[in-house]
Formats: sequence, C-alpha cells, structure tokens
Amino acid sequence: MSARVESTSPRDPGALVRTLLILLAVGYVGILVLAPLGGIVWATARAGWSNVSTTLNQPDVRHAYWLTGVITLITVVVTTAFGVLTAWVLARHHFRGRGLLNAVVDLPMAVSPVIVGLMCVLLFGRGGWFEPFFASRGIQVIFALPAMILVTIFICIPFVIREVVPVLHEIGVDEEEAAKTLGASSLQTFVRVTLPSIRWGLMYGVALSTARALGEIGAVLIVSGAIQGQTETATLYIFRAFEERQEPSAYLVALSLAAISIFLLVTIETLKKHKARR
Amino acid sequence: MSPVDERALAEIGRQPAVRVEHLTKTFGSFAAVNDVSFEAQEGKITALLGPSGSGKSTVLRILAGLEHSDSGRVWIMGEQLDGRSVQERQLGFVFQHYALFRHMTVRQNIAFGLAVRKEARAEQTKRVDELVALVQLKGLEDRYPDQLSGGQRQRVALARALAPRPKLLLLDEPFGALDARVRQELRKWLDQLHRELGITSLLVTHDQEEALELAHEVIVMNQGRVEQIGSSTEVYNTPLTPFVAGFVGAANVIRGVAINGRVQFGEQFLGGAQHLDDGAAAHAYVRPHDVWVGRESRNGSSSPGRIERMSDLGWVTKLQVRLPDDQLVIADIPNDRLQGLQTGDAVFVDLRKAKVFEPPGAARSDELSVA
Repeated sequence: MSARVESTSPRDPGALVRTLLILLAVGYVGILVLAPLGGIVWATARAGWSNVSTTLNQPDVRHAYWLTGVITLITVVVTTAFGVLTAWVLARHHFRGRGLLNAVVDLPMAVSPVIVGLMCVLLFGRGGWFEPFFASRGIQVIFALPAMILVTIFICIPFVIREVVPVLHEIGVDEEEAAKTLGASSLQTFVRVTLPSIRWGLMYGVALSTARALGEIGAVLIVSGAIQGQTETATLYIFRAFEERQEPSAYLVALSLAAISIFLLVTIETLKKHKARR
Repeated sequence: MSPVDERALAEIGRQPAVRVEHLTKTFGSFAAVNDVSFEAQEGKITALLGPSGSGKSTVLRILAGLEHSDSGRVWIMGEQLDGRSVQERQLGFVFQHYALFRHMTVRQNIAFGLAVRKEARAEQTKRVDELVALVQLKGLEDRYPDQLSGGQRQRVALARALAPRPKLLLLDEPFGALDARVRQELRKWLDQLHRELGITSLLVTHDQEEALELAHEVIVMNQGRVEQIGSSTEVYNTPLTPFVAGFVGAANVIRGVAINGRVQFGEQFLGGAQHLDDGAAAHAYVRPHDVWVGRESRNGSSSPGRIERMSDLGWVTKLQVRLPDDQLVIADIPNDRLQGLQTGDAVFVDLRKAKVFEPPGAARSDELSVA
C-alpha cells in the first residue's frame, strides 16, 4: 500500500512514463474495442423500437437464432466434456506424443476458419473420404447441420483445454491423492475435489467457447451453403442482411450476439472475484 | 501339527504392525528405494529419518499405495497389501503441504473420508465434533483452509486422516512447511495425541531432533538404503555407519590413519580403531559436546590446539580449535565451564567418545565398531 502511494508522488521521475503507458493502453483498447461496440449500440438505438419488432418477427431471423442456439449448445457440451478429459490427460499423464497433442490442441487457433470449412468439405463433400459412408446411410453432412456443428466444435476445441490445463497444474495432485487415501474412488475424487478446484477456469473456458461458437461465420459459411431459412445462422443472417441493405436488422442481431457474449464474460469475471480463490 | 506350523503360528502371535521386505523402486535409472526392509511395532511411532532424496518419502508413498514398488512386499497388520488400491488400504496419510480441500470448510474436510463411505449424517457430525475437539479447533469448523494458520491447517489434515479410523497413520514431513516455533509446539502436541490414541504411526522426517524426540524406533535412510535401525539412544550413541554418525546429531570428522588400533592425525592419536588395519585411512566422528577444551593436558591423549573463533549462543559457546595438523574441531562448551578462555589461546583438546570408520566410499568393512 505504502509503495503505491510513493510511486504516485510527484517526486517520482517514473510517474510520467507510467501515466503515458497507462493512457496508451487505455486508448488502444478503447479505440479498437469500445468504439466499434459503441457504434453498433448507437446505430441500433437510432433505428428505434419498430426495428426491434419487425426484425424479430421475421421467420428467417427466428430460425437463424434457433440454429445458432442449437449449434452453440451442442458445441459447448462437446468441447466441455472432451476438453476437460483432454486437459486432464495433458496435465496429469506423461506419455509418448504428449508434446504433439499439446501442440495440435492449438491448431484450430492458428488455422483460418475458412480453411477449416474447406477441410470439412474435402472430407465430407462430393468425392470426400467419408462421403460414401454417410451418403449410403442417407445422412446429409455437408450443407446441413452436422457439418456446421462439426466445424464449430473444431474451432472451439482449444478454449476449455487452454483454460483448464494451467489450473490443473497449479492445484497439483496433493488434494487428489489425499482424497484417495481417504477412500474416495476416482470418480468421487474428480467430482468432489478436482472439479470444484477447476470450476472457475472451466467456466471461463466454457464462456469463451460459447462466445466463439455464437460468433463463428467463416467455416460455417463454407460448409452450410448459407441457405436462407434453412442453414442460415445468426451471423450468416447478419452478413446477408448487410448485403441486402437491411442494416438496422443486421445491427440489432449483431448487438444481441455481442451482448450475450459480453454478459457471459462479465458475469463469470464478477463471480470469480466475488468468491475469491475458493 | 508340524514344527513348521507351530513356528508360523508363533510368528502370527508377535506380528509387527508393519512389515516391509526388500522394497525396491526406481525412477528411470535412479534407485529411489533400494532393497529396504524394516518392521514397525503396533501402537508406536516409527520414524524414517534421512536427508532429502534418501527415499524415505517414496517408502511411505508405496505403503499408502500412491506409488508402486518394482519389487518387494509390504504387510500391514498381517495383511499383504501389494496390488491393493490406495482406497482399499484405508491408511491415514498426512501430507507435508497439508493437501486440504481448499473449497471445503474445516468440517467438510474432516468429514470427507466418512462422506465418501456414505456414513450416516448423524454419525459423521458426531465423529467430526470429536475430532475437532481432539485437535483443539473448536470454533473454527466453518473456516476455509486459507483462513487458518499453517499449524491449524496441519491439525485439520491430521483430524481428516484420523476420521475414518485408519489402522495406520502415515506422516510425510508433517511439520516440514512450518516455522521453527510452530514445529516445536506441534511436535509436543503430536506426542501428546499419540499417547492418547496409541495409533501405529510412521513418521517421515529429515529433522533428526524430531525423529529422536517422537519416535520409539528410528530407521535411518540414505540414498535409498536403510543405514541403521534402532532406538533414539542407539542411533545417536552407537552409529553403525559413518553416514549415521555424521547425520544424526552434529559431528566433527577428524581424518587420519589407523595405527595399532588408534587413529593418528599429525603427531596426535586417538583410540577406537581396533577394527581397522594398520595404514588404513580412518575418519573419527566426535560430537561437539564430547570435545573437552582446557588449559592443561588432562591425560596423555590430549592434543594441543589454538582457539580461532568463539561464538556465544547464550548458554553454550562454540569454539573453533585448530589442531597441530591444521584440522579444525568444533567444541560446544557450556558457558559456566569456559574458565575465561579467549580467542587465540593455546589450549589442550580432548576428543572423547570418538567413533572411527573407514572413510565413506572406501571398501565397507562388515565389522564397523564403536570406540
């Protein structure tokens, strides 16, 4: 406390540099993040209430929301379950190829979603490796929900894993070992000891994953064909509405998606701080 | 009944609480535990004492089932445990860094072992209350671990380990993370608790004072092997190996050569090397409190020397005395027996109760003996 008071004293020659750096950081984030957000809010507000009801009453818009919801829900469930499992394996076990697995987990972050979409088309599209298998069973993968879910899952793989692995490392194995010496089975140990310890990291990962799934467009655009009222997600709707000069509707849907993501992140940050480290 | 059976029956009658035979565990090419065998008596505290890396914690973790030995066998209360899971063994384990469940209260921590066994709520509450009283934490039941001091946390850990009534309590450096004063306090308290409960306990520690004070029997380990097993008195006064002589209690090492059953260093001699061949290198271990320093030679064996440094520790003064052959000896002299000695004084030094060994690393003789 006293150190902080000292550092802001006018006699401190470093104070000016520090103030400059702070202003720079605030300006950078403010201009690049907050300004566009403010722009959308302002544009939506200017369009007025009538825009809200006309937009939300369009069947296409409702279907787009529903589709985005379904894709996000399935993606989050899958990436959470397998993310925790993979994080566990990466943090607690040493095996041949662990380094490789660790690197591969980050791949979806490094690859452009458009490329992800193309890879999916290559595998499941006409002449793709897996196409005969699904075609013979009458399952439409590409230009349909399955491919859209698949690419979204692919893109969201890293979030839960990257949030949970460091927490698992940090908490160590002591508590888990203690639980076992007290007679807890592996499942009891996981549910009663490990899960509560990683829950904040996990929830943050889930929130990031949700936000990413809600906002995904590139890969989904390629594998879905963006068929209006059928394979058009909320982001794809925004894209089309903008093209068709229905900007107010585009702004409204965009704002709603942004609001959900921001709400999620802020809520979790707040809860995390409130509950301290427990 | 054949005589063999009778012997087997007699064996069962005086079975030790813990029996470990030829335990070996390697990590890669490092032999953490190397052919370790020992027994621990029921109702007593047995200490595994050694420096870090001596394998003592690994032995404890193998007993608990947290590590698996490469070979060797373990019996606890007559039951062979190899191949049993951690959970099946039902032993209490206290970790150095407490390993309390940080998201649970004191009460929930202590009840954990009962809750996972699905004991009745009322039973759990009763047992937790008992233990909270036992470890003197009344009033703190609803605190979280990060609201407790180190000493309090370790007491919660102990209560948690005791709650399911384990047959054996394993303590892995339980006071290692605490500061000196709290260590002392908890050590006394643990001694008291053990007298009340009489639970068979294995205590791993690198602190020789802790081992000597608490344990009925001390197993001294070094580099994965057992160096000596004995009571505190035996380990301290009759060390069987140079390692034990040097590790348990402080000791000066006087380097010399064995001649006619004595150790020659420079022009001086001291006794106790009857077991060494003439001309063999010899190390004599002498405890600082067994070094006598005075102005006159007490008998023929006293060696001249000069005081180089003195530091007063309040009740005792540490003297650094340079011997004629340039070796240094440290002597602890109670302040009331200093007789006005000063730095720089020429004195006589009497090295009493020396234990003579061949230097570590030299071919080990089986008849290491004691002066």
